[in-house]
Amino acid sequence: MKSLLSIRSIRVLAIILLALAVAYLLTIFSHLDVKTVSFFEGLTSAFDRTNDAFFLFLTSPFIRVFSGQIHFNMMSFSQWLNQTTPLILTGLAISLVFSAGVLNLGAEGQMFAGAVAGSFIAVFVSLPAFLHITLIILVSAFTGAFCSVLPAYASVKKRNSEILVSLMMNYLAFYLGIYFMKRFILDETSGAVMSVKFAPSSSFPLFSERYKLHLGFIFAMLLALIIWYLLKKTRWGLKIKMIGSNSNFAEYSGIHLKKQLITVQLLSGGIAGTAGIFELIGFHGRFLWSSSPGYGWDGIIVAIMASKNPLYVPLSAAFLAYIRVGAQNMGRYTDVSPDLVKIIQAIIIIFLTAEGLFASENFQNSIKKLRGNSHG
Amino acid sequence: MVNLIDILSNPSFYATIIRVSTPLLLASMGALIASLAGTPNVALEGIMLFSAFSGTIVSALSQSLFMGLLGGLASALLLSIILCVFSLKYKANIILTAIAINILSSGLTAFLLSAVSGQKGNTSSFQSAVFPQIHFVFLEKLPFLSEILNNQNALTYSAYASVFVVFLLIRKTPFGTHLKAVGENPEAAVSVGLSVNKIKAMALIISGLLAGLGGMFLSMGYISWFTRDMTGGRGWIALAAQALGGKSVIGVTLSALLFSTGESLSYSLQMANIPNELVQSIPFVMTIVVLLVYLKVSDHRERL
Amino acid sequence: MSLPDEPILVLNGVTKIYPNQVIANDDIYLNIQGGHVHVLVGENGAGKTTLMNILFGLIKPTSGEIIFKGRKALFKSTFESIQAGIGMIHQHFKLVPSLTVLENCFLGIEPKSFIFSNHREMKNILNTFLHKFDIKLPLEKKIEDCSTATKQLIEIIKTLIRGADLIIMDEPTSLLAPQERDKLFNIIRKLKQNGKTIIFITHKLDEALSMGDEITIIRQGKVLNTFHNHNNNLKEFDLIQMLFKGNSKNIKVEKRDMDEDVVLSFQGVTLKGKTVTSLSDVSFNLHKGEILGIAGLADSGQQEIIDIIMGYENQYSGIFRLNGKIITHHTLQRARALQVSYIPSDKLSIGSDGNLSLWHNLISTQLDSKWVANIFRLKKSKIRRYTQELMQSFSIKASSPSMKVENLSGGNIQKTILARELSVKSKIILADNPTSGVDSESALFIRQQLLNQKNKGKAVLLFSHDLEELKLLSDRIIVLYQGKINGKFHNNDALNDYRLGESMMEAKAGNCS
Repeated sequence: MKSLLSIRSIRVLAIILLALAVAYLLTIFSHLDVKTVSFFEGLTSAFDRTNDAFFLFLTSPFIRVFSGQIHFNMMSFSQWLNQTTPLILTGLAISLVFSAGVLNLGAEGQMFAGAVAGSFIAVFVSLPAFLHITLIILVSAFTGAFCSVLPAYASVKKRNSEILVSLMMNYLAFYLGIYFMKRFILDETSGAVMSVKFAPSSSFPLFSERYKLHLGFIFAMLLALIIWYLLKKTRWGLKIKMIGSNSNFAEYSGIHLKKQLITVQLLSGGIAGTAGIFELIGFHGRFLWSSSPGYGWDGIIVAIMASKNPLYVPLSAAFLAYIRVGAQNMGRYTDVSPDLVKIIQAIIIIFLTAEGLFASENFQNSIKKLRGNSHG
Repeated sequence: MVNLIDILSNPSFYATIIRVSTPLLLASMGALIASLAGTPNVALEGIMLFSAFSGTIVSALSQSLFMGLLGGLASALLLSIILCVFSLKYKANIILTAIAINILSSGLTAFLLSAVSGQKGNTSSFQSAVFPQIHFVFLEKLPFLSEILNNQNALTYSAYASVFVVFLLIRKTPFGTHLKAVGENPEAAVSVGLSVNKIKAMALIISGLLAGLGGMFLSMGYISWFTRDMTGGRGWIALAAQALGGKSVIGVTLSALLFSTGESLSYSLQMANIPNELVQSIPFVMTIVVLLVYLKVSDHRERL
Repeated sequence: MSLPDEPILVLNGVTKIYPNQVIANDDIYLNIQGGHVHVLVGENGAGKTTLMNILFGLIKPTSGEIIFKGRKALFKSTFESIQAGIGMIHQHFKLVPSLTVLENCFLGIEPKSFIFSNHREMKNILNTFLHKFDIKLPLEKKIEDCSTATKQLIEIIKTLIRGADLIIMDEPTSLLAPQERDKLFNIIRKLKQNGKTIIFITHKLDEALSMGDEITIIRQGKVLNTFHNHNNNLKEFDLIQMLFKGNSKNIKVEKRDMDEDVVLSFQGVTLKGKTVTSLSDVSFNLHKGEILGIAGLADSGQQEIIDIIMGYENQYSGIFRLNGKIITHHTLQRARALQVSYIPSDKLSIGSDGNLSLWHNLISTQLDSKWVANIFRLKKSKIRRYTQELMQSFSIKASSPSMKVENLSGGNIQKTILARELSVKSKIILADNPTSGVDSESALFIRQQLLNQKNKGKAVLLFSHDLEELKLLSDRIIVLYQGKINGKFHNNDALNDYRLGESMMEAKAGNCS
């Protein structure tokens, strides 16, 4: 068992390095200025600029160099932790449904809708802080779960039909969410697309006032622990595992397939629904997404990298958030576009889901040899 | 309501439908071919985007429309091949791989956009060639229809021609027959010696090329530059159109036209007080409703 | 032209042993005469289909030689065998539903004009063949609208168009009505007249006798004998004798008498499928402390009875009772709640999950039980102990309770399933071919376990294609034939193999105590 684990980790690591290498090469290519100088000089300058950019990319969430000295980059570090929170939550949501063999990819829409609904509560309701925040989180969760109803229904009628329905729901949730936001809580005074300020009682507690590092991280880690526990230590977790592994056997063993498919998707939707709200009530104090932030899509990557294991989700979420923040800084201070991150993400997914790449007869045989022939 | 009649009686409304249906129709035909072969191509959005970018950049650099066309098609081919290799040969989940390609395309185009043009929003500094509009003399005489059908873009006419071509391909060629065999009963295909993987790969590549053409319309049709994420979900709507239209070329075409009508309507209605977002959500609502109804009905039918 | 005496197909010592040590084909020697109809007769699991799949290139033999038309012929793919001139008509048709008859016939070999399919040419070629063999086909009809008989004709034409000289037909009449069957036989006669060779697989003796020039009996992977049917001199008697000759070693087992209490009953149950009626007025009772054996060949209705009892199938007429109560809107959960255990014939995809651990497979039906978990957590130590106990009492050889089931041998997987199903509180045990594909030692163990259950007062419904097993274990035996009950026997010394076999193979009803 242990050897299998480390092989999987090595594989993930190798793919990450590959993706970073490709990104590196791409950046060098984009820096090549063939028009003005000789090729060699052009290449050196490209390397220099790329190395500068990548240095910033890979280290900025931790450190920053100012007048020749290395300081701890609290600003970026806080951003890193803040960004990890939504990714843990959407990563958990997707890990859940993937564990049950369901391809409900609606985390993006569930998150967005949940965030909008939570924002409404943040604006219109006034309660003591603790109650207010709890209510906001609950409403976000319920809204997210609500977005899962139709895909869940579809999946019960015909397996795999939830893919298109959930993808459509993403768009629907986005457009409807923006509509409701504009209609009811839009800030008329500002020129941008954003809501009015949230009520003060909705303000989510922060670790640090200055850097606005909010406690959502704690919530996400707690939830990761809870979901891990549910999946590994309870009988419900066993049922989900069976459904994801072989639903015929699960049904044969007397498991209520339909009931569990719906349950797992509602739960997943609820978790995804809370993914976005912390950033809004903790960091921004108002709703200001004019386009969908993409946490739901990242959640898919997080889940795949974590092999659907809730304990590894925070790790992959941290990695993805790290490169996100790093890339944002890189984009701010150099000419390299932060969209590089998407390229890295894509390469990671493509190689990770290619089971056949690692499932060849030879590879399997070498793994078996490593584990030893313990059973005749 | 008065507004509606004004809108519907205006020939430019219908001309707009024809115009905006161009990328959608091409991508929908691609979705249809892939779906018939049993390999849904969820990467249409990403392929369209990438071709839109490559086409306009290549044509700007080479100052030639033809080179731009080739560049766009080549990039569509590249992404399609990646999809084929990873999902068919390495047994990756085709949906997840396709989503990865969409993300790749979004990131790559935005990255190259700023790297190549120095701008972060669009490539307007690069003057690319555009596909010409075509004027048919014989259409001049027709009242009302001439304004709708004449002077559309070359790619628009190509899109409608592609419907015809795809129809012939599916109904009248051996390849079309093989496509259906592979999609409906791969065992039957294997039993007569057909290579299932080869046919699926061909289907994916063709669907990618069609999507690529559709993407190029966006950046080389009426405007001559590329903007970030300019496909705006059209690839997904194409999939929705295919889900609605099923296996028939006519069904998919009509569905695509339906969605295009919605889009054209949204432009007209922007004058009226109906919020943009609600109109834009129409295709998605439609798809969900139709899908759910279809599921309920076939479930009911099986019980009988 | 080959000499009339030279066989078109020769099998020399063809053997197929699967990785789990099961011998599907055991040193088979066979000569097939060109231009003849050669019938292969045998029960399910006798090895006929395996042999044909080897011939057709779908399976690789472990050893042996095949010579077709004088040349060595170990085909690596169906494409190769088709090229060589072998055509196969499978039990499950390989046709594309939404394409027309014409398109299906020419799939993969379409004549072209430019890039388009040349429909006219296709029609001409096809009509030539149809005319030659006096067959009528609706060329433009879609397959999904065609009857089973038509589909079969299409499969035959497909092989002819591709130049088949040897045509293998696997149980071709199982889904045909009598008139369609006669039409098929006429076509086979015409094919013979045209020099084609037919290998005809069936379990129906009357067909074998009316169509076959040679009849080979295969039993448990071996060829028992090949009869020559000149001028129809063969009688069914000869065949049945051979097929069902009992083994002399009839192990006497201690069996308790069965109780009076009826725990399960079928009354007038009829199940109509799309083309055939799978069950027709089936009625029987299952008693406490009884092993009721259900005998029957493939497609005789065994699977449908299982599906009804387990809740997979609900569209039937008639009354199904469990413990006296009439059952409607049945589901798997309900069946299990009503204490029915089920040992399925599909060990690997339904009866177990290879990805999961041994302990998980063993408690999969008890996940809602109190002893497995409380509100907070799984009782891991109890589960582990339970697993170890079962591993011992059922001799499941595994390195640890957390071992993945896919790494167990076939026999151990079957014992796992057995352990799980027999260790819960159950009143009724449904065993579907529990020892098929299992090594003899494990099979012995499994049979003993079933007897133990019966002696403890449980009711066992034993479905099996293995007559030996049925005779060994059952108190009574019911014979199914084409969805009808064709015989009810008490399993005592008066029962003889001949009568059992007879009722499994023809429409003569045999009721006897």
